[in-house]
Amino acid sequence: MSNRLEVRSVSKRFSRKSGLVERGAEFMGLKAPNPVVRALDDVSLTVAEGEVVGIVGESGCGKSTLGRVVAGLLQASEGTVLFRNKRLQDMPGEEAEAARLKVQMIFQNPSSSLNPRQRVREIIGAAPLHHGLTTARELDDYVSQQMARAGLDPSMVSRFPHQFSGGQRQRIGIARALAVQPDMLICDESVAALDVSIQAQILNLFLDLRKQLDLTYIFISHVLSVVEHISDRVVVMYLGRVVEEATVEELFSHPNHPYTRALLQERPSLDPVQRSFSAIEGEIPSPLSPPSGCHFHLRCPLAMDRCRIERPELRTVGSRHKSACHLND
Amino acid sequence: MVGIPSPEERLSAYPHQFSGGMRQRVAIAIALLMSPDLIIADEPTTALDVTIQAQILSIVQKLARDKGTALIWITHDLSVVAGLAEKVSVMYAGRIAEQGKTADLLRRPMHPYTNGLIASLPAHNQRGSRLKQISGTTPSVANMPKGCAFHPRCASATQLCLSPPQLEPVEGRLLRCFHPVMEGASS
Repeated sequence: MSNRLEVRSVSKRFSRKSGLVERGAEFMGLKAPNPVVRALDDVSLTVAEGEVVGIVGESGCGKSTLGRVVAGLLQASEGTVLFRNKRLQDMPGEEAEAARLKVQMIFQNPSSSLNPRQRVREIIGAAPLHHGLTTARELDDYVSQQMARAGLDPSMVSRFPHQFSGGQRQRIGIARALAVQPDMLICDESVAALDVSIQAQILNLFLDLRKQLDLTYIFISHVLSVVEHISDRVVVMYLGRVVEEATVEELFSHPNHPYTRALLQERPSLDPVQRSFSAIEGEIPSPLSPPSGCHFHLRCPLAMDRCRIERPELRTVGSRHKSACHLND
Repeated sequence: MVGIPSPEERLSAYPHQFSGGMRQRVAIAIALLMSPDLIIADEPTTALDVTIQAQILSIVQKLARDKGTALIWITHDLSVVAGLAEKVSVMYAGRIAEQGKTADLLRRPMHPYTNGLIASLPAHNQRGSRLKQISGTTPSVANMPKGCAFHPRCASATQLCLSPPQLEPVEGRLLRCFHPVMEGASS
């Protein structure tokens, strides 16, 4: 299988820019430099053509930042993102624009990611019109097609977002993303804000669209059951790093990393048994001052001295299964 | 008691200096101040990550057991209910649709709505297959359907459902439906 997308040792750091006086003070050693948040720390990831890759992790683990870097909404501080083995910077302008258009994003909150003052016609139609995928004369037909494909009634084309329900708004977001004919979607917590019954409808839509349009997905979510259902391969992130990746069957049947195991254990299940909730101790440390060595060692029941000092490498532990843990040595 | 480390130092901290899980612990501590007999918790873990959610649930579970506090837990997350509650009421459009012992009700849902909810969970469907879904959406409060509020979305609805069903005892639980799911086989 060929690579649709490859992320090669990408890091992303955020920090506040110092003003002139602050820079002077830093230079003279009067003030410490502004703290740096390492949202992504040397993350690599490949996505094959037509594959669905799930990214799981708790809030603040960098999964959304990764999605945004891939979608081109953020620039990586280090490392490269390759589209079909080519870097965007190496492509001529037009080709780079076309390559970026082929990757679209679907956001978490369908209410805040739609302009409340635009009608559905504009929300869905603006981008394809700008990129010459349709003409002003054919726009209405084009928008109707996109709406029908996302399961919306095309007669509602003149309505505003607030006149739709949550599930319908998410469908507008999907129709908007698909209107520029992408072959890859990045879904960032796209079903997190929806009720269970609506969530099932939207997940079914994603599955149908995948078949119809041969889409490749990166599916970001903290809900394990959703990721398990839709993904071919799953990547687990913790505090800016990938700690484990494997095919979905392998990961859910033989989790290797203690963090993954803890996540799976704490996964709420419908088994109607009174169980006591036991918890991994502690919380995610602040990415401003991540712990040394393995980021998880503060919460890990199996941590050894080595984990406090040395960062574990992501290495192969089985067929198509990688994990970053010293216990595997 | 609610698991905030070094509480003396934390007394002078502002809420924004706490993480989400810690803030929820503070809220629980506030609720416990007057040693109430009943705590009503409205979606208290929905905004939290799984590991933090498990921590909060374990605290609440322990406190309720130790102090004999009754607990009403409002949530849309069936899996939290499964682990926490003894009794559960399923509501739809302002009415109780079904009420009973948690284990029994989740294993054998009788109201088509409960049944549909449980069947639509990804965990109850084969990986990668289409999920069973309840068609349509929740009706708006201003424009409620006649009779059983669920009938426009219900597969087993008949003419009978145009008149409102009553909440009646059926097999050790309360049920508001003319056509209960008898097998409970779909989940």
